Amino acid sequence: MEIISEYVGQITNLGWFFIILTTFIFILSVIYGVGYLHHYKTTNKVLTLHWSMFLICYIGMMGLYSTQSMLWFLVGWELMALGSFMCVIFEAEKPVVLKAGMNYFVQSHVGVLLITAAFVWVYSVTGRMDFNTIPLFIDTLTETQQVVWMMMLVSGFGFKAGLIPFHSWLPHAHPAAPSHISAAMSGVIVKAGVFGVIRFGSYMTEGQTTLGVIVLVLAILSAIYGIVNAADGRDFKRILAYCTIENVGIIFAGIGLAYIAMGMNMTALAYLGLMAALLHTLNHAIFKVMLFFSAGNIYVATHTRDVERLGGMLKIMPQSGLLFLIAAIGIGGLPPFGGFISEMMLYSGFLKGMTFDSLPLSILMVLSGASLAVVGGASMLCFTKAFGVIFLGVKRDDEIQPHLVADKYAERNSMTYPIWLLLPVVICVVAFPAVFCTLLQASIGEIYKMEMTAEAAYGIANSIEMLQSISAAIAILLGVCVVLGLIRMMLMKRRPMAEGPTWGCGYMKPIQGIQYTGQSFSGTLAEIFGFMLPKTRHFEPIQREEVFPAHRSMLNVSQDAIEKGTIMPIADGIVHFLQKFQWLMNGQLQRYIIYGFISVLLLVLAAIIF
Amino acid sequence: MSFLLILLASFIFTGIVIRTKSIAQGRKGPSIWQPMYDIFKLLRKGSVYSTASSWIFKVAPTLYFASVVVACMVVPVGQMGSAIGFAGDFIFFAYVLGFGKFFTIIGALDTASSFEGMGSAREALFSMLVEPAFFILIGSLGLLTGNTSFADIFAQFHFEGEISYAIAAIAAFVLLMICMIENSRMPVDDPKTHLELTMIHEVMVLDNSGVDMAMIHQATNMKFALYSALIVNLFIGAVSETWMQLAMFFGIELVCAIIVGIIESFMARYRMTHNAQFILVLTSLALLLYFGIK
Repeated sequence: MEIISEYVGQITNLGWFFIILTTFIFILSVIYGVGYLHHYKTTNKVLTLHWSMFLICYIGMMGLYSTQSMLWFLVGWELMALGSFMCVIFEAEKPVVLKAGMNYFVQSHVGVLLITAAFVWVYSVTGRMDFNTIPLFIDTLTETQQVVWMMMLVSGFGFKAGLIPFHSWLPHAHPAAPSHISAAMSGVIVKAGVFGVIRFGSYMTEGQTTLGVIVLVLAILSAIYGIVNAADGRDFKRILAYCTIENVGIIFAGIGLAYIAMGMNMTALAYLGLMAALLHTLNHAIFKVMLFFSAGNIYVATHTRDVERLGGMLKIMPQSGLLFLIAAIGIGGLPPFGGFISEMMLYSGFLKGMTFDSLPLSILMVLSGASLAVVGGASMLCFTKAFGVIFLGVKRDDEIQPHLVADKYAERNSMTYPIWLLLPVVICVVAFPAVFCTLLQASIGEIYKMEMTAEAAYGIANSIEMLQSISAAIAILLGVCVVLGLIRMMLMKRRPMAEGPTWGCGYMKPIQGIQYTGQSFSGTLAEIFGFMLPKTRHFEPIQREEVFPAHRSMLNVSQDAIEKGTIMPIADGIVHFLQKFQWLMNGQLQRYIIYGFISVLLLVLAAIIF
Repeated sequence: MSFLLILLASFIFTGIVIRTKSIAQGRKGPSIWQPMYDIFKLLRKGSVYSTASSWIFKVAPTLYFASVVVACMVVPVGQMGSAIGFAGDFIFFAYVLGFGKFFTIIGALDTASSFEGMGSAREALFSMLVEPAFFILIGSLGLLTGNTSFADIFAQFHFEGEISYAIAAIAAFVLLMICMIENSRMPVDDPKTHLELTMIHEVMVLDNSGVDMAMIHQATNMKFALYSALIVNLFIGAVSETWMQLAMFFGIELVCAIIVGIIESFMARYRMTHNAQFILVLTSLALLLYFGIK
């Protein structure tokens, strides 16, 4: 009973922010999922199990956002992890799906282990589990110990959020899961990690600068690594998964910046960083859900996730295409959508950070800002490629027959409504960023006890004012677009229009296969960042003796560099070690009974001795 | 006001570049108004659309032109303020241009042409590599003056004494090079080559015609004038008389155009694979500037 009384159900404003976001996205995912799983009704799939698990995941998240007790936080976290794991392995009969699911399951539990260890540390000092005891615990720590404690949490939450090097489950799990699950995972479940870091980071009293530098460096590396891998991707859901890693990097860059600023007592900058992180959390959730939903529609219609086989889908699925385009612009951080506003806040944070007195920190800020610029450019490359290759041009593979029934289904009913429903939120963020930021400021102020001087208040008011100028500038941009569009229409009215084939530069017999492919589009980028993108090439070179070379095929398999470099050796090592005990398991029942007998004997002996 | 100036300068900029090139080649060359005549000619023409393309191809040039127009509104000239100005507006400037580029790229991909796909891939890559140079450059100037909007940076730039002219020289060089890259001119791209395989920007607009093509040409002209206006701002701050500012504005725009023409005449295009290195050199130069200021 003590455990139940431990539950302190007091919801912070920050908790409310995440609860509202999660609920909104989950409702949309359910509406979308009903359409997406429509075809499975005729199979013997147990949809009830799937939806129950989805609900359990939701309950877990509500629990962890509303509680003020570490024990219940862990319970909620675990429910979320289990529920989402079950949702991911919806098509468990496919080995690749099951493998991806297990990968997710194991890695998320390594994360839980780190979080639990950090909580147990608190418990061992104070003997209680509610959040109010954490300040008492923090008082007993030295600066280094505080950083270590927080790093345990950051890496634990990083496993969920997909911060490198803890990200490697993400690119497997997202393609494996059904689209509505990928959307919910990428949109909000991953964000539980962001919540955790922001929530527990508020208890630190010393050493924030060190922590901030570590988080910022990891975040920037995540952003670059994520977007380069996304740009080189071929499976569109894998592209979106890597793009999630990139955006989580941008969110954590805001958090890192805030911690550095806190350590230097620059309250206004700390607020700016956290507001940027939270606003980007919102933006990314909206746009990523839009992307996964519209990508899901493509998958339903074509049954392939390989961008190189698609093309010209915009004419077949105009609604999904338009929504994908809006989300692609938004997530790339380009005006006129919300992604630009949060990235702009981050930029102005880095610009302020350049004035730090300490030279290393100032250099870090310049490099972070420059990296953010590279990430912005690479994400433009990534999404022009994704949109261009999937939706534009002409179809690349004749075998792809956008299934007429499925196509109509995906374009007209429950699979497009949820995406349209996100659009008002997109417009609100662009039109009233100041309202959102004021709310976020209040929720940050509630848990972070920073000194609010007149100067800090002025600084925050200044940055919020900047946001209003940005929306005004965006309004001008849209106005100019509309005016020029009208002028163009007027001019075009009296002009002759004709249709013809694409100019082939003198080549008379173009075929669809001549189009630029996604791989060649990102080829040069992949060359520059080759060290991040290890590829195994399966190709048998032509021998000297072969006068008439036979048909050949070539296959490039890309791997995740970090997974290959760190996770796999560790996993292989564990497997190798455990294989040494394989002789124990030889399938003879008699042996197993003896094992049982021996263990009972040992237990009895132990009881006698101790 | 500054928008009108940039617009005015854009009308003759390309004309001067072409004239400089012809003089360097020993020809008389066309009138400096020729690019504008071409644009008016295009405006009166009809359009041909590829059967492969969709509505994206039709809206792309308009949005590209709109992005350049808005970018022009952000840049001030001397004390003549800009229509849009706020703290950090230079990032808005870069991202608005990015918005236009996004549409140019997908517009090119919409034609299903392999050449245009190649051009767009290069455009995306090179503009990605240019971004950090621009951020570090203007960010460092911001650090020097303690401000983050174009208007304030340029207004206070000359208060920093002699050093600001040295910085201005380096900054002007970097900006000019960024201008060449963004406009796909000589050391990086050759718009007048006979082979589509070796082009970047020109090959992306192979299928555009009529009004759309006119908008793309005018956008290019304005981009030239735009970046040169940034260079003008580096030197103009100390001058207060309006007529002097106007004279300096047109003078420096003229000088920029002539330099572009001379570079085009006497330099060969780099190999495509070397372009990335060339662009990264600019980033390190900008970083050098930052260290100088810090």
